[in-house]
Amino acid sequence: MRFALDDEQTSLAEGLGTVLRSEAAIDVTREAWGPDGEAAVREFWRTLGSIGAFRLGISHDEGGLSAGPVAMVAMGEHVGSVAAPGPLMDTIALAAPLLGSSDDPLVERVLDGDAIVAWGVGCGEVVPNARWADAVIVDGPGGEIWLHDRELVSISPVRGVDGGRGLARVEAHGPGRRLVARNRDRVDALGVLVQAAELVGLGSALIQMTVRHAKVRKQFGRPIGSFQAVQHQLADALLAVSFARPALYRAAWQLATGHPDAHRDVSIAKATAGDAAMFCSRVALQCHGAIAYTVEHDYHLFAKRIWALQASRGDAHEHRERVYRALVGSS
Amino acid sequence: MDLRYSPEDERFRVAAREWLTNNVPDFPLPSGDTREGFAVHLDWERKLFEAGWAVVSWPEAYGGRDASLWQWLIFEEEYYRARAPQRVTQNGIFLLAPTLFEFGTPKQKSTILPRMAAAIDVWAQGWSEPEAGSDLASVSSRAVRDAKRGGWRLSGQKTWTTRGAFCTHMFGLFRSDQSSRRHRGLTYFMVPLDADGVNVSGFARLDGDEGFADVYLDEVFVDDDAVLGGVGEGWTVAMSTTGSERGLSLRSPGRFRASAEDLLQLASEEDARMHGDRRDRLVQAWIDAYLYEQFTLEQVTRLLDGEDPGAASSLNKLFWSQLDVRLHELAMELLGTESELDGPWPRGYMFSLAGPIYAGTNEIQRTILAERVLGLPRG
Repeated sequence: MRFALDDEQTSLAEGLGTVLRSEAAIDVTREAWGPDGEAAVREFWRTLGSIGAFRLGISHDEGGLSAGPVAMVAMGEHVGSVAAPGPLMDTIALAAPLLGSSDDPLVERVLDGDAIVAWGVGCGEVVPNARWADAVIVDGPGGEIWLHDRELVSISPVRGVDGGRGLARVEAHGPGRRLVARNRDRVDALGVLVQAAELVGLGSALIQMTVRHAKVRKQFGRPIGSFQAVQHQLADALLAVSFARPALYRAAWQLATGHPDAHRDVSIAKATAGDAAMFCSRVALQCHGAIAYTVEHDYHLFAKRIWALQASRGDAHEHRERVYRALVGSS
Repeated sequence: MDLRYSPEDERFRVAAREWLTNNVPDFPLPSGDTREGFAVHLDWERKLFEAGWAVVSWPEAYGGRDASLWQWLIFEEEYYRARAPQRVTQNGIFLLAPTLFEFGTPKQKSTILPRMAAAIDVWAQGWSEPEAGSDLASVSSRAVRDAKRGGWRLSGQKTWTTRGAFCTHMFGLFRSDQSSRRHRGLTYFMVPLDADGVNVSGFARLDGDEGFADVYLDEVFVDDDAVLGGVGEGWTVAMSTTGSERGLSLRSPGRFRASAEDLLQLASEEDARMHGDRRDRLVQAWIDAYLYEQFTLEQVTRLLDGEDPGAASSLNKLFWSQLDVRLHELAMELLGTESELDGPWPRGYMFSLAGPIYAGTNEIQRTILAERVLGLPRG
């Protein structure tokens, strides 16, 4: 029994984290909001591709590092902690392995970071990151997964609350290419789980941002971080993420080992992460005060991502409902 | 990462489960926080001890079976799954014993521990005083050196001493340097409650059981062997206890997982009252118990890796105490008007209300997290 990352998992995740920080992912996110967003994201993508980021989840035989769900979750936390733009975990954990196992012609360009693929499975018409995507992966009518090249779909940008999410309405004009998942349920579950991991990373980052602020912002002659009201809110935020995090890793382990409770545990992880991150976003704003109530402060980059991710792929209530059915059976 | 217990640990589980199945009383015992109930619980403690299950993680020499921390967790899980009786020896076993293992002399350990394990001596924690609750460092009970007799004379008052009226011994902090202030000049003493000058006066807790006591000491003589750790070093010695009190030894996940299962059962019986947000809260209570287990496994891994849990044990305490209240609040709602009848759920609810208070109030815990973990400036 050992509830901790292996050295390999740790170095994979920290390696990605280091790159994200050195490439100032948060700056790219900020730029993604603006008119040159696509160019910034594409440049970021090529850099990530060049260091092999998109190969992390594909098998050793195919030239990857065979990162499993546990490592994916660890990476997801890092991705969330810098509010990185683009379908980063979706590509590493879902699209790249799927394109590889389907022998899709796009796979090499995706692995190299030359092509961006938006993951729209379970999304309906509006797909995140479709705005700068070379291809979109969506649900088919019969429950299959389909890839559509950009040239063969209509992509109409949609204004989202999180302007860095690159939302667009996608309308396919033909059948596209069928992708074959060895285990469709597992793909969906991993998609939920890496998003949960990002939520925990985002929430933790907001706590750290708020702590930095509370240490230096002075009112009434003292740092506001010395006031109990501020201290206790931040302590509660820390409590929330500290208990959300182990749920991510339990769920990842269950998925990795094919445990019968894996899907239930993924739902627990998503619900817990969503609630924790939402709480962090409230505490962070309140403890920053008016200073953060502006798009000129980085707070909104994290908060709006949290709001989007907690709702996407099933919100906390929907996932708790799934847990209820797993525990009690259908009512 | 590997979340499987070893085959050896699973064999340990099987052995524990088998013994508990064969030995746990069929019906709940009367409350261990009453005089009569306490005596019945001592019989149970002796039964546990004779079978080697009273203090599983202790060395065999002291009555244990050298179980690992993982095995201890497994034992607790099985214990609560079996709905086994309350451990009236817990304050000695979980609070004093770890301190003895760390600071005790060989003589103290061999004298005290086996008798504690066998429930011949039952220990109460004499921590609080009327003027010293959260602010433990402000204790004013005194220890005056009696060099002629080779010991100390203790005077003062301890209060809110759990099961103090039924215990045989007490441990607590006394100011041994009268010129000292706050956490300096304190000494940790172990005191027999039948000594001359000791007067114990039980009083009822919120649920009406005589679960509390005032312990008055009037020039009570104890010899030098009653000092645990160095003279004047009581604070350091006590803080080691407080760390484990707030940490995992006081509340293992098994307890809450069992409560959550009981709550699911109650919800199925009270199906007609499961409207509004109660279903969501029911699942959340179950999830919270599950989260506490995952967090504990992570913490134990760190402990075994040699990391100091430090202030992270405050996270632990904050979480379980709030989980317990929420779980019981929902139970009370599901019972509806039945909740005003005496019974296990209302009693559990009343006990849960104490959780945010004892083992360091949740307000103190939050401040510790803010200042020691987040590094915020002191208030």
